[in-house]
Amino acid sequence: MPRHAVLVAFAALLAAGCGTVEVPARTAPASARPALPAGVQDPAPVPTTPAATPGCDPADPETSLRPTGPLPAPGRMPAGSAMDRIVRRGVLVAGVDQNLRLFGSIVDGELVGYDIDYVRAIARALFGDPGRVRFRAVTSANRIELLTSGEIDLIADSMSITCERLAQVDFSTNYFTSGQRVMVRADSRWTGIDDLGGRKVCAPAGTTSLRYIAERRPAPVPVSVVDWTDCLVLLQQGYVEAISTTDTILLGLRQQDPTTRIVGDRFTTEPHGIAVRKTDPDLLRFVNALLERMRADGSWERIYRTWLRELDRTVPAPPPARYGR
Amino acid sequence: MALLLLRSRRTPDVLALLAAGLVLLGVLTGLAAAVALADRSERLAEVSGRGGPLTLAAVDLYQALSDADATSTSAFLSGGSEPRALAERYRTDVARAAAALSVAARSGAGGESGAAVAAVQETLPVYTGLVETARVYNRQGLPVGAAYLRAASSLNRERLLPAAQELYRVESARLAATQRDAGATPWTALGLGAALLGGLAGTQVWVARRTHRVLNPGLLTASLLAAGALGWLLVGTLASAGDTDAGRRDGTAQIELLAQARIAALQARGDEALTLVGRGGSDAYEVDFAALAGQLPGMLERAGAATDQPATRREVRAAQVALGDWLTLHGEVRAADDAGRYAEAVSIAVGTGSAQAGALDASLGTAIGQAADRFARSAAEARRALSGAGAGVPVLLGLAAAAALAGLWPRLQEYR
Repeated sequence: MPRHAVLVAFAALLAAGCGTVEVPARTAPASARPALPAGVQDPAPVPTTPAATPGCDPADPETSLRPTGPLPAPGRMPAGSAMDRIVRRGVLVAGVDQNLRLFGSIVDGELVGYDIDYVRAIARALFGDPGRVRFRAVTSANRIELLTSGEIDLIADSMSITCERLAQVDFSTNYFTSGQRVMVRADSRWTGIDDLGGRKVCAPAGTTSLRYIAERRPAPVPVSVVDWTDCLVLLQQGYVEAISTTDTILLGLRQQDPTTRIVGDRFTTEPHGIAVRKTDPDLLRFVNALLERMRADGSWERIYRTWLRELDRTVPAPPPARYGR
Repeated sequence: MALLLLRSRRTPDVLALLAAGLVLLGVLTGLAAAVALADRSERLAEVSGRGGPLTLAAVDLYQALSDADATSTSAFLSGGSEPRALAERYRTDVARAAAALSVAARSGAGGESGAAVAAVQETLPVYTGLVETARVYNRQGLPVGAAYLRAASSLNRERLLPAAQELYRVESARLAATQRDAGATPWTALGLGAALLGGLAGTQVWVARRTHRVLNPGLLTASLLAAGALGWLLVGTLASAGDTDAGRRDGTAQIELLAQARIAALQARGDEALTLVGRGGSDAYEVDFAALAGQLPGMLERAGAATDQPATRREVRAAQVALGDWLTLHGEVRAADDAGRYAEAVSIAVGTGSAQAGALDASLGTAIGQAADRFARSAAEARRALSGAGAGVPVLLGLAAAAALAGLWPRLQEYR
């Protein structure tokens, strides 16, 4: 009998009984990456500069439709007009940003802001009741589509008038002028957009601000997000060096964080309009007539002072209406 | 050599050879049985002591993190001061996640599991920090609070949940492998045992022919002892394997299906709330909701089909009903929100919608608890089925060898 074979068999049986010993792997300490909001694009794809639109001067795009006479009495709109359609429906559907402090945001449970005041004024002119409004939340990226598809009647969302947008929608006359500046952390050394070449600068996707950032020389690195407040999160986390957009929007962001400041001069001049479908010229003339009245009766000044007084030492004169057609 | 001896046909030589062979075979069978049973009991101890708890901890971690996401976003809908019950639930979720993590860390999870545990350990404090920042801003009514909440949620979904899922994947696969090994048939011991029984029978026949005595009491005792030992080994391991199998089928396999459905439901709930919190910010969450809502009925169907336990089937049916109601209410929430009736949308979502989503979650939670109980019970029964066998079977086989020797010894002496 081969004895060693038996020993080998014993050894094999014994070995089978022992489990394998596992040594816990040592993991290197992870670097603390900043937490990013969903939808951050770094670097952001920048929309190419649009081809020139015939009949529109990119440096001076603001011309709108002249009102035809005084405003009709509330509730008595010309038959068949877009206003009549809205009055019959019983409610104005307005696309607004609801996270944009000073223009449209929730304060004490109420949606308030510069744009909201204008929408309410339009509702009052239509119905005699500023409450007949359904506010539909929109973003920079989806607002034009919602308007052209007919889901909303108009957009009041701090929207700059540009030739590119004029190809898709119509704008009212200028209801405030603003310009792009830069917001940085108060302890940073940046004094304006020209310091920020090669640095990350934030703006939401679909905004003109994003393109103006990318077009500056020396060129900053544009970072895009979904919502304006996402930019503030990125700035607070130190992921971006600056947020750049119109100072009217920056003011609302700055109010949410006193450790930031707005620096540098305006490097753009942007007229803003309320957007209306191209197929509703009567509504556009109606809004322009209302704006005309608001400029004259002090409403424009009152609304500007309520929301944007921190921006200027004195409330500027209302931008004049300019009609080209 | 053995053949030479047999061919020599000299009775005392053959007798000596048979005695030595039977003793050796008895001892070998005893050793093989001892080794197989020790190995099995070690694996069963691993199933109930480490693999099981670790897999359940991974499921619990995943669920707690998903629930934290759904709860913190739902709490936001109620405006500045969040409902106390939701704040409480979020705190409990974080505590449960931390407890599950410490179980995972204590179990000395190495390799892939260790990396996943480390990732959650590193990210969880960052996540809770973001949620608290969001809350503080929300209390001041500042819109940046919602942005922090979205950042927290995407951190949870992009880093925490995948790590928890990875931990679960690795540990449940390892548990399944251990469960399979613990149920394997001990072929070596059974084969040797069959040879032993055959040897004993052959020896009896040979001895009866040579000595003209029909029965050899020693060999007979040895045969009975060996047969008893092998019966014990066979019945014990089969019963234990059956229990282990039941623990997998009615326990861990069902936990997997149920937990998948529960986590998908929680994520959909978070999506619904985030769409509302975002106030038109993005439809990405609604797209995600629609994808999950499309998968959920199938997930529940599979979970229900995989079990024959009436109690669990009842819970799955209740979950299916709640899911249907919730999806209908979600349609109403979206219709109201899309029409600009935000307050109404929120009131449906935090009211009846939340109640149905909560009922869905509670049913699945109960079903998971039932499956976990079944797993624990089966694991204990699998160990009980083998209790005593580890010592008893080898001792019986040792005694069988001794009895065989005792039976042949007087016959050998006759030739001295």
